[in-house]
Amino acid sequence: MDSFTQEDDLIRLARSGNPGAFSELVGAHQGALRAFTARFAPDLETADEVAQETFLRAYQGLARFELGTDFAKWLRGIARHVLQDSLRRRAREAGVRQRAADAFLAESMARRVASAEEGDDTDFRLRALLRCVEELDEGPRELLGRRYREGLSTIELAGKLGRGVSAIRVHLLKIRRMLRACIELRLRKSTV
Amino acid sequence: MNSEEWDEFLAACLDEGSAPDLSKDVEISPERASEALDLMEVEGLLRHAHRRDGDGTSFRDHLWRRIKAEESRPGFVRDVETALSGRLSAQRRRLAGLVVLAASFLVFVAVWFLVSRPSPETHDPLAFVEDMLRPREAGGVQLPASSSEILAAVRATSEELRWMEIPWLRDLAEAQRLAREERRPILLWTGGGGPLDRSCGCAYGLRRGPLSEDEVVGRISANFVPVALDRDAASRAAGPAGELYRSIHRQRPAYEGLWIVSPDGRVLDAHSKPPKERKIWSQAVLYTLDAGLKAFGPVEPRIVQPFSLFPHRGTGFTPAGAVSLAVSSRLIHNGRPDGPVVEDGMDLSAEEWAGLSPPSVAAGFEWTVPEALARRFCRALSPAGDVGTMPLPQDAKVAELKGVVESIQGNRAQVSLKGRWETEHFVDRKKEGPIRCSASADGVLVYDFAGQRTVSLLLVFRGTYRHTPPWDAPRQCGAVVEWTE
Repeated sequence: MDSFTQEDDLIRLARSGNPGAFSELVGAHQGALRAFTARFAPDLETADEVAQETFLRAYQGLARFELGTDFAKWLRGIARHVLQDSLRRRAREAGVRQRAADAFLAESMARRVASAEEGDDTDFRLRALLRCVEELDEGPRELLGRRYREGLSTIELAGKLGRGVSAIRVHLLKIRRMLRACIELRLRKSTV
Repeated sequence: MNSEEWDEFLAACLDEGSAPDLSKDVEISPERASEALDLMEVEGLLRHAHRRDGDGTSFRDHLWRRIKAEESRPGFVRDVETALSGRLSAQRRRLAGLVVLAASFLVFVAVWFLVSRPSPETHDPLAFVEDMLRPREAGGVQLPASSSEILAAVRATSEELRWMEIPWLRDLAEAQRLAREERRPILLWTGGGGPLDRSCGCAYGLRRGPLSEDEVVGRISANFVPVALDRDAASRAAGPAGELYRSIHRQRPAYEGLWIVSPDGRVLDAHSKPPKERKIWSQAVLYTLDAGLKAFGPVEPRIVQPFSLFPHRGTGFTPAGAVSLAVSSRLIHNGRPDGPVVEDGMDLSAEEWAGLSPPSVAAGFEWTVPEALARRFCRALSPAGDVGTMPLPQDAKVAELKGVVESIQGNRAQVSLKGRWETEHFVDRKKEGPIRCSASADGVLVYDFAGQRTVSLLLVFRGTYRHTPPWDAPRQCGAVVEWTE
């Protein structure tokens, strides 16, 4: 999508009931929106559920979108509300089950989503993360690959590597801390 | 909590997606909470970056199913309309303010104009049906009050039509060509009479059962080249497609069901009998699909764009000028659905279609539709999906359809239709029976006499269906036949 005008044409078509036009809009925005929801949601299933709900509400409320403005920003605005609802529901449920730490973190994340600045930097953070992963030493990079690309659980990793589950978890935690520091550094330098 | 305990707590949070329990006197400091949230964001992005469905195919498929389900919800279109009418109201207020200054009479005219003008941005395919059911203050056609109830009870829900979201082909040779080109297996579905139309019992069960389950629809659409064939016609077909069909049946003989076939004609798996426990039928079909896929090898999932399996059913014309009326029928009890819907099409040639038009458009003009054409509507009388139990035109003992031009507005004539039918036939014209059906129908036809063409038709049937003895207690049924230009 190289301009709002082209996108506005698609939105007009989608409003008139053309399913192909909305399909194109979904295709153009789903990657960024799913990254945004994955960043704040507790797991990918919840993230996708939030993204689905966001597109559904967008489809129902297309008439309310102001043509000539940023459609991606509008979508993120809807997603932020859906995310907050989801996180607060999770916090309430955790509270009922007397899981205070879980409730506290879910509520804190909901507040973070609410106060997130409108100029979203998820795409920048994602690209920075990938670069930071590339820059890791071979050992941590391989461990990340087995955990995320191959989808091995920490228990499976512990079995394969002959180490304790707790040791693997803490090792992964240290790698994430390194990645967080690397991303923040790139954000400060504004370079990916 | 010391730093080691905090690390273990945080590591468990990130690994399990939820925080372990903490004793009541332990508090998480703002700094530690901030770190936890930062690392949860990193974890979310790491998981997102390594998604297996990176292209979002299944996400989009699922979204489309949700949108379709929402669209069938009565309030859905109105959500959009509400927003549009809000914007129209704002325009209307501004316009009215200016016009009030000029003359109150003009205000009235302007408001009346805005209220009566249809919004160009709304899209409601059912609008014409609702219009026909709306009571009219003067002239026009008003259907009996029970018509709305029958319409609501008979028409299919979106859940019942999921099987239509699978991109079925009807040509085995074309399916084989596509399978070779896209390197994916063929899913062959056969039944007596053609599984996409009125068909035999098993095909009908698959249609309203496993083949309307989200997971099955998604698995087939993304991985297979699905093709649906009438077993009798396909088994008699000449040429390579007929040979392939017969070869498939020689490898895994069965009367009807699903076959998974490689592009070179090798049967990889098949499913022909529903399990005794119907609840696990979908699981059994999924098991067959997965086994077939495993035997075939890796398949690149594909994206299925929204499409219409019956692009002309209930709307528009075929290139030859024929129409396909949408027919829905169902058993009903106390105004509520009492069984699965039968979705069917009734094809009328251009000449037959013209036979429904009023010979004269003078208000009050009455005429009788040719009996041969009235007999064609017999298929709406049976609420059973099996083609053998459906009455054919020759089975009608009574078939009457009469029209009256009720009113003329502009170039359009509103015509009321009334009809009655009685049929009697034996299953497949030879076996047990008789099956007896009787029904009456009320309807509306809108005729554009400037263009000399019918622009919409709605017929609502109410009647009784008696199956073969000893199961011949009369059961209430309803049907809807509809078409719009």
